[in-house]
Amino acid sequence: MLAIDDIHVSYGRLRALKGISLTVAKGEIVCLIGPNGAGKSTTLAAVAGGVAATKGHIRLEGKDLAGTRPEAIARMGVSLVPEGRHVFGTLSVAENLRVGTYMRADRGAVAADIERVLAMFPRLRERIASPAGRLSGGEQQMLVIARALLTKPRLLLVDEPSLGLAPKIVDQVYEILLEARKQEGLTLLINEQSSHRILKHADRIYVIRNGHIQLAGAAADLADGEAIKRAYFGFGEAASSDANEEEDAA
Amino acid sequence: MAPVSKSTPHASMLRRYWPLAALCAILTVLVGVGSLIGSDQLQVTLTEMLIRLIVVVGIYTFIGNAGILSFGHIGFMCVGAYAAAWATVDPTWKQMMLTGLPDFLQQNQYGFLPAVAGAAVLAGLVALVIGAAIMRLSGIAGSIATFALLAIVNSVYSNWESVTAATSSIIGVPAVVGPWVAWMFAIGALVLAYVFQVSRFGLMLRASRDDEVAAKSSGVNVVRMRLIAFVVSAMIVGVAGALYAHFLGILTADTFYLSMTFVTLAMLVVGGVGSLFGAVAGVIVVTVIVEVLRHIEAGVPLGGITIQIPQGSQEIGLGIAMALILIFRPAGLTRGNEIAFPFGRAARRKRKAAAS
Repeated sequence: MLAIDDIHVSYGRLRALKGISLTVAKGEIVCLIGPNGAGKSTTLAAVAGGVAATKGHIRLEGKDLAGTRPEAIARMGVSLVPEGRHVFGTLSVAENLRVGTYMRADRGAVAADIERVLAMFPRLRERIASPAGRLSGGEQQMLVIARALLTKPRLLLVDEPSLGLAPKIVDQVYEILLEARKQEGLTLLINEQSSHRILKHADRIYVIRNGHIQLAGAAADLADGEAIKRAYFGFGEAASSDANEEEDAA
Repeated sequence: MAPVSKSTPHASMLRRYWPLAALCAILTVLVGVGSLIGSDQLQVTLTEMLIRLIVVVGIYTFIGNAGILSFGHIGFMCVGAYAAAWATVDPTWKQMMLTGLPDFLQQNQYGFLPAVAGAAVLAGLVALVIGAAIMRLSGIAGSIATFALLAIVNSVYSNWESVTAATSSIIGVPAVVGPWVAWMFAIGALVLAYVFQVSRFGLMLRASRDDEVAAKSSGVNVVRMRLIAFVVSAMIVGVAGALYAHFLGILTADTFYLSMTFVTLAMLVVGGVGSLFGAVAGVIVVTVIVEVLRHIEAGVPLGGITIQIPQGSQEIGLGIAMALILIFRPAGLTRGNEIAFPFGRAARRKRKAAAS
């Protein structure tokens, strides 16, 4: 469904991505893990059209996304849940959800979909008339995911859903994402900093560090976590990033 | 919102449009009382206030929803005022003074309503062309660009001798606008602004104001939404310009420059940029403050002695009032709230809590 081929992204002189390639098949849950500043968020932003790749291609079902504006990519069925709970603070919960539905062609199904999403998130129904800015962190994260689901995405990009949330809430968030995948046939590409929770849910895992893919594999093969730990921290191999670059070139 | 509210469609319509209905009622009472008891001076003040209200409501339609401060809207007031005057001034005068006007304007004299419509259309067109460029800018860059727009409009209109009569004024504009005419247009402006605000366009725009990244990832075309709001608001302000021309009866470009920009933005900030109620409240409060100070400047007899404050106290007083409001209520008098629906369940609960 999604194929990223050797993309490079720079912020000014800072090179954030130095040749990332990865694929996501329809219906898969793929997870990017890596430390802060590894390039995970940049990778998702590049897919959603928020930053432009200086080199390489991003293809969605074969179509090159280069030069496509973020809102157009969203209309192609790619929804980004950005890191840091981007709710529309002065709008009510109900209005936040409605904004998620405006780009859809099937207006008739909207009311039923809102009802279904509210059934997934009973907490949001209780706060339906409150301004989103007054919700708790966990509630805001749920609202952002609910709003993203209402855009009827085929590919949902989720940037660090567990950041700053209590473990119990994080479990709820994952339950809902998995449930949404079952119900809507959603494909998921998720960023996380920590690996143990994601190993349970993901089909495949990429470890990113310093703008490179360090490790790729099926979650089942990496289940003991040792290989991930090595790739994540750079143990056991020539630890400098120059050495990594040579490895990649080879 | 259909799946949430359990009330009947009529009740939810009433709830949805309550803030608008309340504002219209306040305005109607104000003008009704004013014209019953009113001296001529009061009629003039009332008319001017209503015209400014239309300007502020127009500016609010853009600033409030898009979250971008605009210094340029008085430029659209200028465009609207001149457009309407071109239509209604006596053709013999136009042929003598405004030799650069196109024939259909120079040779004919149009009625007041077509002139107002023309003002709205021209202001909207200018906004569409200019806005297509500057709506791509966010934040302060966009604001500065609107200020440049104001300066450009002002220098064009104060120098284009054959079309605007430049520094000599356009005279003989029929002064047909009184309180009730202004009231009618003010109600129209309120309805348009409110309907836009609660429409899907208004909602998408307010979403982009709160969070541009998230709005884009929800598929909102932020630039297009801003442009729509810019054009709608310019049309409202353009209509206000036409009314102002037909209130003053005489036109110079400098009427529509920095001091008008300052007063109208002050009104909006005092009332609160975040709601239509804020726009209306700001206009009324600032007008009252200015009028009271002006009366005392002129001298008020009080039991034998006359109380009088020095000339210029008006501006200082307004400045102090603004500072106080911004210190104690940075989000304006209304804090971005609309007038609350007084009959709902939430209101009843609140009243009960207050009683116990």
